[in-house]
Amino acid sequence: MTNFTSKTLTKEEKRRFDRQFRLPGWNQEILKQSSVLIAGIGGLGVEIAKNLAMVGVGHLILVDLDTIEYSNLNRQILFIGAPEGASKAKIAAKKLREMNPFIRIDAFDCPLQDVPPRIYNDVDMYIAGLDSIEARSELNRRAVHNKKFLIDAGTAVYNGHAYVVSPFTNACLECDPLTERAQDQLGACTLVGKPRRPAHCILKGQLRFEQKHGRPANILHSNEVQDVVSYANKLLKEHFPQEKSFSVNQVIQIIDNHEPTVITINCVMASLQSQEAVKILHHLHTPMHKNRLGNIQLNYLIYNGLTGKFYEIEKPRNPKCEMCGKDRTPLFRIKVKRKFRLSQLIERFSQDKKYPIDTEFPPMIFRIDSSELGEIFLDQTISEAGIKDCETVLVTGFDDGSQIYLTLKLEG
Amino acid sequence: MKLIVFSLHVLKTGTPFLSKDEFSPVFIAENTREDVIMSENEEFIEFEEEGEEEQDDPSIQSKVPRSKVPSGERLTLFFRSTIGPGEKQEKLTVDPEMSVRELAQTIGEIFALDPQDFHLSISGRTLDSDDVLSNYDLEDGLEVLIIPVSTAG
Ligand SMILES: [Zn+2]
Repeated sequence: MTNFTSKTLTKEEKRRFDRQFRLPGWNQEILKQSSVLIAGIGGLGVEIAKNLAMVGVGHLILVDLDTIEYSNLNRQILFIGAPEGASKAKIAAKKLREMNPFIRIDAFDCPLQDVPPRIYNDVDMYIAGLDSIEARSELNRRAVHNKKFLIDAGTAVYNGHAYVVSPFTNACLECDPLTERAQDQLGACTLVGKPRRPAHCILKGQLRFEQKHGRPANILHSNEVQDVVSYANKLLKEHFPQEKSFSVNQVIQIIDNHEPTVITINCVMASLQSQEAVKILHHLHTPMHKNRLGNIQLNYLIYNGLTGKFYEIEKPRNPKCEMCGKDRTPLFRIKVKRKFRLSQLIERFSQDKKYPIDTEFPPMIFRIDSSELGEIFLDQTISEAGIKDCETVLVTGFDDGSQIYLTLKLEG
Repeated sequence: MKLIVFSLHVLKTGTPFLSKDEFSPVFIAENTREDVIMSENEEFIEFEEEGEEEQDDPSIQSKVPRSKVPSGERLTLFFRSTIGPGEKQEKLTVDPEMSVRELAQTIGEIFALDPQDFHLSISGRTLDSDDVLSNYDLEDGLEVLIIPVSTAG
């Protein structure tokens, strides 16, 4: 109960957080000095950000390049009353500041790649509320390179998963690569020709509508949807007579493709992520093992909202993982002055670390911590190249085609 | 693991690196741990050694190497659904040369699920549709979980 006499917490904070000070093992001072990056401020991210702000995590960094849509309002509580089209990250930050004025919140309405590398280096951990595999991969790479905990989660209908990545301890997201649901692409079938799968009948119905009207069917107009449904079912009867005919909802899900999501499932998963985050922050700032708050769940958790059951899967590391496996591209951290020339830096590295230069294909540096990838020319200083503090670059051109990652900690 | 040079502590506290050339960069290998919680470096070293044996075998291609099932034999697997309105378990005898895609199709029919809505997971590894079962480390009686493709945020 040290928090009651804490010197770093204000009187107001002490009154506000009174009830959680009483939790065994809790330390509000630790949370106040912590920082968390939340990637994706949607169904999960809004709930995570709300929980961590309420709990009093001192510094939150919200990243989302999306804007608010009206259909977000069934579950994304921070956006109620905000204008459609406004930045999710910015509006969330504004609402959270009202909810807890004692914490600092920074908002980035840009891709994950363009958040300053220094932030990835400085924060305590990352939490994902993302909806794409690519974004998860990107955040996973940052987590492995910066050795930060990453708490991922996702939902599908009435199910969800939550998974804490502790780099080099359990599997990273690349150890067991996620694969996207194979979507039936319009390109896979045309208006002419036989439908190869039942779902193709709907796609053909949709294509036919578009050709007839010069626009897709509007799902709020029942006669337009019905047009697609009847054509799809006609084809279905013809080509797949054993199949049950399509319902209006099935057709809508295919012609207006959005993941079904509801706040109840989002909240379960986001709360699991938030609770793991609270423990991890306590662990990171508690040097003594025995005094740590609880234990981190390092297994993959699945929640089935239809049965109320949880499943736990152990995720061993994959020795062949490209990010954390044995043959991964090694990463070196360098402390270096901004006016150092890149060509000299590579030479120094090559000598110091015994990485002979490939004379046939000499070293090249590539920018990877940015949405604009590309070569960085060697004949300039670090500051001329626009390399940011804590930025990681890829360097190729050592013997036997080997390459390395360099993280540059800049000074001067 | 060969290149641990300076502790990150040096980097964090800003203690200058002793060198004649003040522009000298300091190279620090990646395996020095920043955080106390991740300092169980020993585990990492163990992992590296374990990985080495497997790495020597060039024939290993799949995520989980080496099948324990001799070719030609059939495999009995237990399937359990983590999705859908009721938890179901089914025993199924399969041909190890069967593709994961085919297996998912069969499982979809048995469990009344769309193969697009689930992955098959064995011992923490998600089976790749383009693979055949014999590429995985399969044993008779193993449990295969039918898990959600939960990627929405
Ligand atoms: Zn990995």
